[in-house]
Amino acid sequence: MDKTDLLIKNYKKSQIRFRNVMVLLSLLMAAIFTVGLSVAQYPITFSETIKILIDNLNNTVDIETYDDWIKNEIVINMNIPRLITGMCIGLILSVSGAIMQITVRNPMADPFTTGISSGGLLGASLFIAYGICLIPTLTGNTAIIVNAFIFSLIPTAIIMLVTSFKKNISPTMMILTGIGVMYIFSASSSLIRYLADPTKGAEIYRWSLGSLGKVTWDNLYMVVIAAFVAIIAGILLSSKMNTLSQGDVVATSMGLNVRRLRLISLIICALVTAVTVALAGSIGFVGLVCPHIAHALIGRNNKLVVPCAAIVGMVMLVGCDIVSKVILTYGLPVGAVTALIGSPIFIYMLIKSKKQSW
Amino acid sequence: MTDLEFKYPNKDVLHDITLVFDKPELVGILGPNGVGKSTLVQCLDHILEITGGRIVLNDKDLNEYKQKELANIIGYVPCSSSDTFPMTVVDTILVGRQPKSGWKVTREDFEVVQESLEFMDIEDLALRHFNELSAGQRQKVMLARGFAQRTDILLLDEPTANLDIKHQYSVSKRLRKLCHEKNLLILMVCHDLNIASKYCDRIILMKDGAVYAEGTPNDIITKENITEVYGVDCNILMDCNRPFVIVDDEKLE
Repeated sequence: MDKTDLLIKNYKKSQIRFRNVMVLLSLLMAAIFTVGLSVAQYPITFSETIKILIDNLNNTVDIETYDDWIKNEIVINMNIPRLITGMCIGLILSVSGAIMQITVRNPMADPFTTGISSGGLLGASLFIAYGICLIPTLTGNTAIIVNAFIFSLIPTAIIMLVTSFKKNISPTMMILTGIGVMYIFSASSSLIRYLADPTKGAEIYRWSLGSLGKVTWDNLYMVVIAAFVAIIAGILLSSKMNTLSQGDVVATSMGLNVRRLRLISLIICALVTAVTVALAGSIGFVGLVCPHIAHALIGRNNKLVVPCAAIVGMVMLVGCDIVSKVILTYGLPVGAVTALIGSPIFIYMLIKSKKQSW
Repeated sequence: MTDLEFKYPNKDVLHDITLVFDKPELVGILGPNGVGKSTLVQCLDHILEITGGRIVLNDKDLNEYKQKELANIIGYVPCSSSDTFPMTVVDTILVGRQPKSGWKVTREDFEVVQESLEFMDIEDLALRHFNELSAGQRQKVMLARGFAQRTDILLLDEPTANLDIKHQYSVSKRLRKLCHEKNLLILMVCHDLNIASKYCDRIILMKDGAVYAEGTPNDIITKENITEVYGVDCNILMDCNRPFVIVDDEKLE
């Protein structure tokens, strides 16, 4: 065997860990999904769930009692879309976080760093409190979704504008611009909530907490498409992210247009995250922490980090969502539960991690 | 290049530089700190854009090249590499293949990586993580990444920084060998006068943002030039027919 073959063999061997991690996480995801099908505040046994699934697949649904109806409703129209939403949003946030952290060179970056969620909240608040929608013909939930989506893209648009005026802007300055815009937007939302009447104020507050339960079969396709866009973009960009992780100067000498790469990543992350914000509100933590968990598990090669972060994000969000449904009789906001469960895991992994990555 | 000029908004860094590189050779760029050596090298790779003058590469103005095309002609290894993320050594060197192969890693890429590892004598480090390495080992990995780019021109900013004396000499010797065997043009920024003198075919001595003198080591490394450019007195001995500088520190504080 010549030396190159030996090198390739050893290199492949060094990636076995990646394969194992991916297999384990996939199994975990499958298990969580299966359990998640029957978890609800209304008691449903696992065998009932299986029966409902089989009946629906065979089109032999037989609803006789209220009990049958509500169980069917929960499994088919609530749990399944919610699980798929959780997987898609977990993937989107985690992959966007992984892309953002590398391209803006900042371990604290996440899909919300650039002010996306504050934009979404302002859009939603404007409609809930004053009925202002950017597309005036829309009403109800659609109007909130559209408003939140468009407004959440404004901070990114401002960053792009600033970047095009100032040629040698550093990635930190890009983030700081986003943070500046974020404060303006958050303050405006707070004012609107403060001035609005109490019922509307409460509705704004509920919206701002973020929940996976708002997505239905009718708009599920949006998060699914966004998730595909996120993972494909992540995989395509991963080789360029590796180059960029050698530093801006080296990346430039390798023929990479660093500024353009930053803008493209920013736009893609903004678009897919805006979809999640519009449909489920802002769910923090996943986008910040899951990429770091992926790094701790399999290292720094972005070609491996992107798929690993994707599945870590799914497991984390769906897992925590299930816990949040059962933890108290009335359920808790998933964002809070993710942070409460995830943070100790994250801190533990940071302490245990031998690789000093940042 | 002719009349090259580079300014930062309120400071002239380089001016009136005219140099011709027309054959494969190992060129040392010498000069005191802050004289513009690194800036010159970055201008040559179009990382910094010159503010005056003209750089012509293979009969075509440097500005007309796309950065991607340049990446297949010129390789650049900066002096420090503190702002990198710790991938494995193989992954780091594979980055050097990105301009040629893009996303997919082929067997050919691994052949090049293997050759680069052998050339820098770091085969044993192949699967270690970059952040676990010593400064000198990192330096070698960075150089290996530069070679893996397989360009005809290599710009190296202090390739022997962080290396111990044995490796300073062995790396320099390898560079010279590489340059002559594969017909490459290698420009290296260097602080060690004796290494430059021993291994370079040609030396460019810079002072105050301009070229003070250029020519063979024997012509350039002289008592007068060193005193004038660096402001230190010295004596020159001859070793293997090349000048060797011994600093006389009597007048220094």
